[in-house]
Amino acid sequence: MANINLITDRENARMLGTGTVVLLVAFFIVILIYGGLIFYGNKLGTDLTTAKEEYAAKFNIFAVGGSGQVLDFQNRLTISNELLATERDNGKDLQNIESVMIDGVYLDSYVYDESAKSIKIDCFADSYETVAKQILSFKGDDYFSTVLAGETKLDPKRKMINFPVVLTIK
Amino acid sequence: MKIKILLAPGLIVVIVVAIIWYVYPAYDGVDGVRDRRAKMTSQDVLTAKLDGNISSAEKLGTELRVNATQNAVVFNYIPKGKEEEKIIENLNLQATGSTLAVLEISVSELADVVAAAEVSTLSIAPPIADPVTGAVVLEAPKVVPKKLKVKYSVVGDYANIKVLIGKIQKLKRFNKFLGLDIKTLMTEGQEISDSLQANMTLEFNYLSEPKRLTDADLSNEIFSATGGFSSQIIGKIRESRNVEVNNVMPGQKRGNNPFIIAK
Repeated sequence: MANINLITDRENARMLGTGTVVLLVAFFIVILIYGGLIFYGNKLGTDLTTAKEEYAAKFNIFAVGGSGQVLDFQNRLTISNELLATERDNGKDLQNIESVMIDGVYLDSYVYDESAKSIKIDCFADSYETVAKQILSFKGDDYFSTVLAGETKLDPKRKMINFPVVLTIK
Repeated sequence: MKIKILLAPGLIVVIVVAIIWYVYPAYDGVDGVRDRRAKMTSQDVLTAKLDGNISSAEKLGTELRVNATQNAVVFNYIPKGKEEEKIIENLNLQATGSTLAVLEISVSELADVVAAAEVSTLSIAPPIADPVTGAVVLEAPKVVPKKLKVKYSVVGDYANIKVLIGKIQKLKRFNKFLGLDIKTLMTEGQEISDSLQANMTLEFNYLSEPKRLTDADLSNEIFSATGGFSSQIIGKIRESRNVEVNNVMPGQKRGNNPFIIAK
């Protein structure tokens, strides 16, 4: 009696088991997802290169056109606005010094320092009493926040009292 | 039979390894799909912004040309170049006009900004990410003008020095006092002279035109402003400054021995 092979392909598949089949399907899905990602990634890369080239071409039009003049003018306006806010009248400082000087005192020098916002003056007075009155006069003016009197001494050449004062502007 | 037993665990290992080593990096790794999509979004945002800026730059350019005369106030206030010859000419003119003798007018670059200005006139801020799109946006750079220091000394009486100070502060070109030193002078007979010497340290500035725009310039507020340029600032400059800055007339060229004064 001849041997007959009774095992079919279906039975072979069954022999793999359902779990193995599911794993095989999952494996193919993973391969498909990976392939899809590579394809989509390459497409995005090409699109990005094209978009960058288009951007560069447009930017050249922007950079060399009238935009430079527009930006330059706007920068000048912005800076001007900032500078206008910092402007101050140095003539007012002198006017205030004039208004607080008393009889018997004169200035030998006047030094304004923008960074310290201060005025250093070197004064001469005919007496110590006048010196005291002058310092009081400076202190009575609201224009100055601090009044610092320095070394007060007799100048034998001029025969007057020399005293420096540092005034800080408010 | 042995192969059949090993196939399932083998497949699990292969799937896990494939996900960890290939699929996940292809999506979320460096230059992966997610990264490229973010870059694409960012690029789209930049392109849209650029399109908007090109269109608004055209409108603003037309506005500039129409108001060229009015805008000259701003270019006088902050000129494009040093123009030190104008500083010398006008300071001398104001002093002689106030009956004062000029001892010195020296123009130099302010030392603390020379080095920075050589590199760039811009102060660039680090890039920031747009919270909505995630696109990287460069902050508009802050432009800083180059500064000039002018040492200016005059001799004359107190009233005239005060007048001169007032005139300088009203010059249509920006300037500010960094220092003012007024002192009495002694006569030959050691008497106090009626004349005073005033030594002034002034700051002037200038701003060169940008040679080429950068990506960061796209963020400048003017390109997204709806009302165009602010005419208020021009009005403020006009209110603050009214002393004309004269142009220097060119001298006659001689073409002979340069070591003698031509008569």
